[in-house]
Amino acid sequence: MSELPVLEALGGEFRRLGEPRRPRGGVTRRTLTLTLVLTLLLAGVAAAALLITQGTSLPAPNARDLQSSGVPLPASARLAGLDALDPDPAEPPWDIRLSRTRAGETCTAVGQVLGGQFGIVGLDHVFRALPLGGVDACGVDAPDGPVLAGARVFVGSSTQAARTIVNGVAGAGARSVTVYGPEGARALRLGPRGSFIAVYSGYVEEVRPRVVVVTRDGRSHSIAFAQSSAFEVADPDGGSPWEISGGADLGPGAYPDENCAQASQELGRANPSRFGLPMTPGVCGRLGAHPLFVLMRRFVPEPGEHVGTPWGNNPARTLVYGAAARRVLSLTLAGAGAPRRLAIDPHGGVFLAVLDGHVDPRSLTLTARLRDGASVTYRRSTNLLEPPLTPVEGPASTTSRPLREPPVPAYRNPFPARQAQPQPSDIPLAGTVRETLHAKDPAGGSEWALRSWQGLRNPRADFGPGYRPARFICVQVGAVEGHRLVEPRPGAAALPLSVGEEPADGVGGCNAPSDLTRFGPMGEAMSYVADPYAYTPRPLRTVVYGTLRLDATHPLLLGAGAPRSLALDANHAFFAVLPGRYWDTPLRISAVIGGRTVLGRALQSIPGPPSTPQARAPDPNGGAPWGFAAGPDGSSAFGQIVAGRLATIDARTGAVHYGANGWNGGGIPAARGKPPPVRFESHGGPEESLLDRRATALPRPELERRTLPGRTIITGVADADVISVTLATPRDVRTLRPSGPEHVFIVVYDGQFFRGAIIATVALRDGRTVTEAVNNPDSPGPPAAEPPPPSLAKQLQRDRVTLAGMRSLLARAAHANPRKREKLLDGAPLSQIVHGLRDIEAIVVADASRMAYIAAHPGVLPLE
Amino acid sequence: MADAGEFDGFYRRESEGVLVFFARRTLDPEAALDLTAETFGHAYLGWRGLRGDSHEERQAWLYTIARRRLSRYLRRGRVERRALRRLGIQTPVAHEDDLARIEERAGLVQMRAALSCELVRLSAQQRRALDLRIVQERPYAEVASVLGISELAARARVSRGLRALGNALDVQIAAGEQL
Repeated sequence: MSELPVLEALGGEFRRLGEPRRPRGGVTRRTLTLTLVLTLLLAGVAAAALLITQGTSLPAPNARDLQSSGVPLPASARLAGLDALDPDPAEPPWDIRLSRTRAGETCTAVGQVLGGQFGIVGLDHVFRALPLGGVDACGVDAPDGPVLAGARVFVGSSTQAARTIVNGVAGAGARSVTVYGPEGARALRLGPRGSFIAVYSGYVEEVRPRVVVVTRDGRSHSIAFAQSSAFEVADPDGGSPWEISGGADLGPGAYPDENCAQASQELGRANPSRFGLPMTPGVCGRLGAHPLFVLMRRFVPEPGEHVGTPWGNNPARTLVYGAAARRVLSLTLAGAGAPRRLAIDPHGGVFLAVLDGHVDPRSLTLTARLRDGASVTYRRSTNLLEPPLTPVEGPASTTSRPLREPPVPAYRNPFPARQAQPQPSDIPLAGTVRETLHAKDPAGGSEWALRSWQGLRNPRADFGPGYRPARFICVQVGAVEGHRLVEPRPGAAALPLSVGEEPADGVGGCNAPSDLTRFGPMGEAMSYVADPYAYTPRPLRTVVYGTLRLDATHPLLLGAGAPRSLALDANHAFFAVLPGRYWDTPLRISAVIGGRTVLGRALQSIPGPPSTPQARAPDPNGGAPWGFAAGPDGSSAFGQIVAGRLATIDARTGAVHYGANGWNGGGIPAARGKPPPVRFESHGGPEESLLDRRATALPRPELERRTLPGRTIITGVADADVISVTLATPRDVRTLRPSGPEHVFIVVYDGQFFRGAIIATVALRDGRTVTEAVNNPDSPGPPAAEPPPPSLAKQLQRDRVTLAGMRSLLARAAHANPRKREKLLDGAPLSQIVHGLRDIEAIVVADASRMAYIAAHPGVLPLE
Repeated sequence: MADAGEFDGFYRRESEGVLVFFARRTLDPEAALDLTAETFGHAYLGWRGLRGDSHEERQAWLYTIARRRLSRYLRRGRVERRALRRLGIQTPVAHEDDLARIEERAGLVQMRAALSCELVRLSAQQRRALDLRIVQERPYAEVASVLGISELAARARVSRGLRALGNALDVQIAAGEQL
């Protein structure tokens, strides 16, 4: 426990929520993929034959951005000539372009062939040629087996219009390549160097292809894309799949025959961020005492913020999940349509059914057929335990207690997005609304204006602790179009701004008058680029705005040439629009307060440690390239490169910020043991888009290139003896060469990897190779290739060794002088070590009692 | 449950380290506390996605979240509360004693001493601001008053000075965290 009361209080807040769900460590989970019912529109289904027009070629990437990932040689490029037909007969066929780099790597790109040209048909039905290098991934030839394999995904106007293109180069020694998809096996025709391609309708998460390559010597290699080791079931409305995990309860106070189970929805296209995912409780029960335990509960959407419920504003579902002992032969669920069998994962005994939220859990019956021929029928949640209370939560108990099921809530639809959003901070006072400050756009566009008003605190808004201002002064800034204030969106219709609306991405905000008095001149500057997808984005304008305390006068804008006098409106708001060249200039506001000139802070947001990029990668959308930089102290930063420096571009609004997209300040406590030769970091998406609650037009790259929304970025800092890093992702295989003084690299993919593993093969100067698993930021569960967790006996053995080590450490520390003690404990407080010791002791007791139970009652509990 | 108390234990083990991490990088105990709360909010929400069970893996994961929160804080100049809002969590109010203890835990006193040696490298303006705030520990309002600038300008000047001291500060931070 921390000795800081404020941290203890914060910990109490988290304890109040209960334990978050988590796939159980140390519990074996095996893959048992349930078949997803997919209706595929295959060739032969009538498709609207739309005329495809020829557009201009997509811009070629800058060779400078390809240095670390390989530059394909134009003379080496050729089409494989495989011409795989698209499921839509109106679409041109698909092929692979093969090329080589000067270093001898093989590069592949996937595209369509029209009139002898290699390109892509956009969602606008325009064919655009793909220049060499833009979409090509280059990898090192392996001496045996498949060289390169991947599943490139192209966005569609609907799920069925999306395309998953399984492709690769199996090598000259390949005898056959078979791909297994939803409709079964397909034997593929082989092209030059054993190249192959197969085209599927839908996204890779639904297709879940598996490629089997058989070489001439009879060996076979299997590569699975978008596989998951989780025990999954489909969502009734076609949302992301659900998974169930579970295993032994080895927590303090658990019964030796107690198991637990937990259901959760995975990330997917419909729900790409963990912030939006529904959360469900973990449930436990005794499988020695009962054949099974089951939760049957309806979960319904909850409005707004601050509800504390983990379900969120997701569609209602009725879930049935739990775990069964080994004596249960089969499970049948009735009461929701035709009776259905529920699969039982032999490892952990878990089962799950996900039903539409209209299904009343009280109408369900779950019948277990036992191995001795008997049947048991369960209605409603049964045999559930909740874990023992900790002293903090209430009177401490030593064992799990029966769980009471709450009343069944009435079905309801998700709340409209507006109701589910955080409340605005204020309720505007109509008489105070002003829109008197206007400015010309230096880029020649519509006039810009500032709207301000005063408002009373919205009692439903969450301000956090201790902050309860009574009034606010608010501003909104936008362009004036048709007498309306709007937030411009590059390449899309502008969004109208209404009084009282919190700007999600635009400029504006509210301040309490007391803050204005406390903090002096307050303002912000926001810069906009003409085209957020341009390779060299050019800032068009810098909008400066803010509010001053009511006794401030004579505001001046400094830093943009000669000091400029700023006009104040009735709410003491100010506003100016400058040319875009000031996007990275430190601008500031001064004002006269109490007869003295007061200078405000720099208006631009404070950048992190932006540095000169040491490694570059092309943007999959054709925008500004990405850069990565690292320092000798462990700090690192990545972002898009604008004017030679790392910057952050918001593609939806066109806003550009000087400073890295993400950075690591270094100085992180070092992990024990020798670090791996490459320190990877991976970043998924799309967190930023969560702010965008209003519909906008399809972004241009999706329209033209059919790239996926969101992105996956992998960066690495390598030891000096690392020659190359070959990254095998569900998308493709790429070989990267660390560059710069800190030996770094960056690779950027469009879309998120909702399934599958990322494996890096690191080639060292001495000829050795090291394999590292890279965290896939958006994938559920451990990679399929991960070795199974250790047995209970092995765990117990390890825990005992750990316990002995900790006891020895504490004994030595107890007799050491303070200096030596601190060294022995590696800086950790003694109380922390003692707490850890007690944890391990409790786990060892639980491990041992579980093992004793299994020995005394063989064949009762599910396999671990 | 097998994992009963697992997050709680994780919080107990790591919260102070995270708080110190933020305090040393923001030199602002209140902001550090808010960032710590938001970081654990994200950790709570992302717990199911956590891969690996070793202490090192969990710690690395947590500090990745922490670094991102810090990055956003520095870029936007405010602490986001998205995860906390989602969870309905209130950050406890820190009293003077708490703030003093956070400063003590973060070793800001030692950092200040070390930084005073590095101040000679800075411009006179920055040196003066850092000397007042970091070495003499005077409140920002007083720093602003002495320098004849606004409080926020004083904050910005201190922040810029600290960035200018980049390497020296990072070395101090790294050394402090390995103690």
